[in-house]
Amino acid sequence: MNEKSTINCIDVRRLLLSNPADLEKDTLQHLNICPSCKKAALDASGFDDRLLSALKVPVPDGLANKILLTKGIHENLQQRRARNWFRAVAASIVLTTSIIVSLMYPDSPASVSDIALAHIKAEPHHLQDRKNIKLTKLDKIIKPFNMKINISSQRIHYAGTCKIRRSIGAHIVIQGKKAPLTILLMPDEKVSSRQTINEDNFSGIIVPVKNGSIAIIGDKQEDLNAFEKQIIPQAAT
Amino acid sequence: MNKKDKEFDALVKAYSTDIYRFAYWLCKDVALAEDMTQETFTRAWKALDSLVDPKAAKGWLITITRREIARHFSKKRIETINIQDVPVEQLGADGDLSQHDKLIIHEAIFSLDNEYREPLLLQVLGGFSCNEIADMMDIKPGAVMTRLFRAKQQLRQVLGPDIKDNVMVKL
Repeated sequence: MNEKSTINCIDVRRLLLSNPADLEKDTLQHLNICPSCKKAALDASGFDDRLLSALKVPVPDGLANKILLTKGIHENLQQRRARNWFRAVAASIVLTTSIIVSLMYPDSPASVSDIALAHIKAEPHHLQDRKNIKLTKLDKIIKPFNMKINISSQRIHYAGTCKIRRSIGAHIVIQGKKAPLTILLMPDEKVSSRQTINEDNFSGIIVPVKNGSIAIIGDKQEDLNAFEKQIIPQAAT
Repeated sequence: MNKKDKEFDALVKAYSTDIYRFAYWLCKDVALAEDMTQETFTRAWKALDSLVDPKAAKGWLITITRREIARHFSKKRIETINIQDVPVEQLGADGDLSQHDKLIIHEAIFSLDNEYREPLLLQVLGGFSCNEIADMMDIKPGAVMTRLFRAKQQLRQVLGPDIKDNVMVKL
């Protein structure tokens, strides 16, 4: 060992084992002047090379591709989860909105007057019927509904039963002063008080009776008050 | 393929081999090493935005791997294997070492305590400096040097005569 060196052989050999890739200037200088340590450095380098060779175990075939594939699957799963999450949130919003609306408007079905008018519009051909129905037949038709009406002086163009919303009712067409009038006996369709209809070319009234309501609907020009008094004398209050 | 996909693709192709080998030498199990490698890259993908300096990618991945392995073994009791059970194919056929020499080196490396084996792997396999290893292991550079010195000294004592190389250094 050269006397001018500031580092001794023990230090150098310790560094060759612990940090061979990052030797400092004084260590390198020592290696240049110390044949024994220079040989040790070569030995250490050879040892590390052999160690590295042994550490390089075979890697599973297609490892990189497997990782990339897994990442792709992972991404798809994440996207699917995100989509499901959004769907779940959307469904929750719709459900919540429905509940809130139903709470705000607990019972908002179509009104009885809307139902009556819609029924007449759906069966306009009955306003054209001219069947001249006899009172005895009319009585048979309306008897099951237990709603008393008085039609004696008007010509009866049509009388039959039909479904009005949830129940079967009676549909009668008589001759008014201006045009045919429709009378609907509507069991289960209750109204709290007398209602009037003024819509399109129709005017009408809905009168509450014991077990439902009776509608008289005719032309807009028709005076329905007189008909009401005659046809439904027992109108409930 | 967007920018993030390209970056990740490059990371996988550049470092999956090193990460697998690092995991293998810590786990002592081929299948587990592959799982740890997969898990490392899955976590890397999720956290890729946090990798600011691409030059630090290898160290970043190694850190993720170390954490994954630590997490795995904290849940499960470490099972050691008998080196005689290691299939010869796992030793690899590359390099100028015989299968016999590789088997002996395998046994010697696995016989090292983890505190010695890990810095050795980081230095020899990972190519990291003592300072970088110190950062990764959160210990002082001097401690890293001591561990590396002892690890290699221990290996030399075991391997000296067997690998037919006069690497023993008389201190």
